[in-house]
Order: sequence, then C-alpha cells, then structure tokens
Amino acid sequence: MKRSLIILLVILTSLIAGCAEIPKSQLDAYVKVFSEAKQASEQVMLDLSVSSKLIKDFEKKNNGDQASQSSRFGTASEPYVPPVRVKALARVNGISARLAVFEVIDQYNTVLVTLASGESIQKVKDSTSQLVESASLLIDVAGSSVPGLSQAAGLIKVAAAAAEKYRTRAEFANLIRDGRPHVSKILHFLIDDTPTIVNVHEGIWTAEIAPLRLKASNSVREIIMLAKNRQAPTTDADKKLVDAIEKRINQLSGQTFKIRWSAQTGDKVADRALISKMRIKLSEAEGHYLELAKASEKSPSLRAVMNRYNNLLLATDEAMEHIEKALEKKPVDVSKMILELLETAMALKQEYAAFRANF
Amino acid sequence: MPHNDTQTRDAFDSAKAELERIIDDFNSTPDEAAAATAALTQLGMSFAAANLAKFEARTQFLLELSAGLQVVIDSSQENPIGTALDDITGNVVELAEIAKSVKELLAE
Repeated sequence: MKRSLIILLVILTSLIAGCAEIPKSQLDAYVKVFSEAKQASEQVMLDLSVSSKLIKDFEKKNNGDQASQSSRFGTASEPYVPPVRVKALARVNGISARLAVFEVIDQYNTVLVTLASGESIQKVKDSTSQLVESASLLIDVAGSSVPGLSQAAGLIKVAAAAAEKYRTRAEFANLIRDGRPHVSKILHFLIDDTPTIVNVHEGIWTAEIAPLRLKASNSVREIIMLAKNRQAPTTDADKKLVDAIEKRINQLSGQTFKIRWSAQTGDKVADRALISKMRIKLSEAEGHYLELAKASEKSPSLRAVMNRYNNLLLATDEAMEHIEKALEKKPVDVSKMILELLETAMALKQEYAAFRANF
Repeated sequence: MPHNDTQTRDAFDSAKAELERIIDDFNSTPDEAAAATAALTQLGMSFAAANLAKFEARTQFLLELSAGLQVVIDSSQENPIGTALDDITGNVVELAEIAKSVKELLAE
C-alpha cells in the first residue's frame, strides 16, 4: 500500500508540474480593472436615473402619453419622429438590470479568486488529516496495527492536496473558457449602450438650453427694437460706442450683426441715452450668452467621460483576455486533464478501500 | 453606431440645427423664436425619451447574457475531492464508533 501511494504521489506531482499555474497576477489585474469599471458604471447609471426622472416629470407635465406619441416640430423641414414610443419606459428597469449584471460578473470573479486562492486545497488537507485521525482511532479501538500507516498518512495528505490543486486549476481554466465569452459580450453590450446614453443626456440638455438660447437672442432683439424709428448716431464718440456694441454681439453670437437704423428723415437720431440703454441690454446679453456657452460645454465633457468609460470596459475585456492567454501558454487538454483527474480519484478510492479492508 | 441609430441621430441634429437657427436669427420675430424654443424643448425631450426607451428595450438581451454567465457560475463544481474525503471520513468515524461498541460489548 505504501508503495502504491508513493507511486500515486509521484504521478500527481508530475501531472501538476506539466500544467501551467493559475495566472494570479493577470487575475488580480482583471479584478482591479473590473472594480474600476463597476464603479464608473454605477456613476453612469446614477446620472442616467436622474435624466430618466427628468423625462418622466416632463411627460407628466405635458400630459404623458399625448406628448410621447409621434411629434412634429416647428418649422423643421423633415419633422422628427421618435422611433420608439415612450410608453415602453415603465416595463423594465434597465438601469437596475445593468447594475445587477455587474453583480453577476462580480460573483463570477469571486469564484475565480476563490479557486486561485487555494482555499479548497487547504480544505482537502484538513479533511485528510481528520480522516487519518479517525482511522488511527479505529485502529486503536480495534487493538490492531497497520504497518506503515503513519508514513502513508503523510503521503495521502500530500496526494489529496495535489489532486485538489490539479482540479482547481482545471476548474479555473474551464471557468475562464466558458465564462469569458459571456463577460466579453456583456462588456461590449455596455459599450454599445453609450451612444444611447449620450443621446438621452444630450436630448435633455437640448431642451434645457433652448430657453437660454432664446433669452440670449431676445436680448439682442431688444437692442434691435431700441434702434427702431431712430436714425444712426452722428457723433464719432456715439458711433464708436455703437461699433463696440455690434462687435461684442458678433463675438457673442458668432453672427455678423449690424444695427439697422431708420432712414426716415423724420425719426430722431440715436442719442447717448439710447446708446446707454443698448449697453445695458448688451450686458444682459453677455450674461445669457456666457450661460449658454457654459451649458453647451456639457456635451463634449460627457462624450469625453463616456469615451473613458468605454476604454475602461475594453480594458476589462483585455485584462480577461490576458488571463486566457496566460493559460494558453502551456496548453492544457481539459478533457485529458479530467480523465487523468478521474483516474487519480479512482486510485485514491482504491487506496482508501484498501485502507478500510484492513479493519 | 448602427445605421438606423445614425439616421435617427442625424434627423435629430438636423431638426435641432434648424430650430436653433430660427431662435438665433435676430431677424426672427420674438414669437417665431419663442415657438421654435418650445419646439426645440419638445424635440430634445422626445429624443431623450426615445433613447431611454431604446435603452430599456435593449435590457432583455442583457438579461439573457447575464443568465448565460449565471449558468457558468452555477456549473462550477464545488470541491468533489474534499466532499469525497468528508464522506470517507464520516464512514471511518462511524466504523470507529461501531468497533468501539463491539469492543466494549466483548469486554463485558
């Protein structure tokens, strides 16, 4: 028995030496980058939930369904029609589903990390020790002895742990092989989400910015109204002031702007008091245009953030690919491995049967 | 971005640009500008809502992907060697107890 156990140990040791270790550093890298992606996703979803609430509030305010049906807008040459009816909104909570999918991947990662930690190997060692203790107790009670038992006990413990190490590595490789395509698809699904998410935010911002845009242009319209029924200023100083107003409006609006003065001889000439009023209106316009410019910066910022988010998701996928490649460095025939493992398990069973036959 | 999505986005951008042009144009009357603003607000919110609906509609596929991964997790084996050892240990302990009882009986 002792001899056969030694042979078994030698076989197991050689099997383990023949297969690559679990790539722990790659696994650590993957788990870390995933954790970052998960946190980023939580932020993205939080922002989206805020936007979702804004949309629902807007719909309530605009009599919900009526507002959500095919819409025609103003003077647009081709009226915009939303492709999907907004009624579908309440059916599934997509935000929760996306947060939940990260939890599923997390669960998957936990299994990988547990396998890599060797916890089960320790468990096998502990079970074997307990078995030997019980066997010793049995021998003691029976008042007999088994030659070489104490030496065999140590060997069994090592052999069982070696078999478990072999199994965990095979299990890890299987999990990566079977799980990676799913994780990869999920990550790419989330990447594909981003244009839609960007559209949600940009749609809302378009709506939010519209009144600011109107305020800005109305400030200029008020300047135009002030010039109505007034002839152009005649003094150089007043002309310079008006030029400055026009130049500033050009800068703010990005349009070529010229005040249209009246050509009617009966109309009054623009005086300093009128120009002062125009300057007050210009000051208001400046405020509105700056507010508009600031609000318009949101969109490029969001796109930059979403690009980084996408890169993080891609990095997570790549990190997983590195684990797969590390496992492939020493190709392992999983089916062969399982067969070998079964043989090992069978040999162990036989050894234990032999053990029991002695009592 | 898929072709249809690009078309939808292009349609939105085109309608948005046209309405913004009306609002920005100082030759537009205040009423025209106000009407264009209301239309732009509606356009933005409808576009946002349509995309949120699309986001939600995609969810079913995500759930399927998630279920696929869950199957992989569930199929991961516990620890067959450890379990087998636990079973054997249990049997041996039981045997030891029986042997002990037999020994005690014989001693009596």
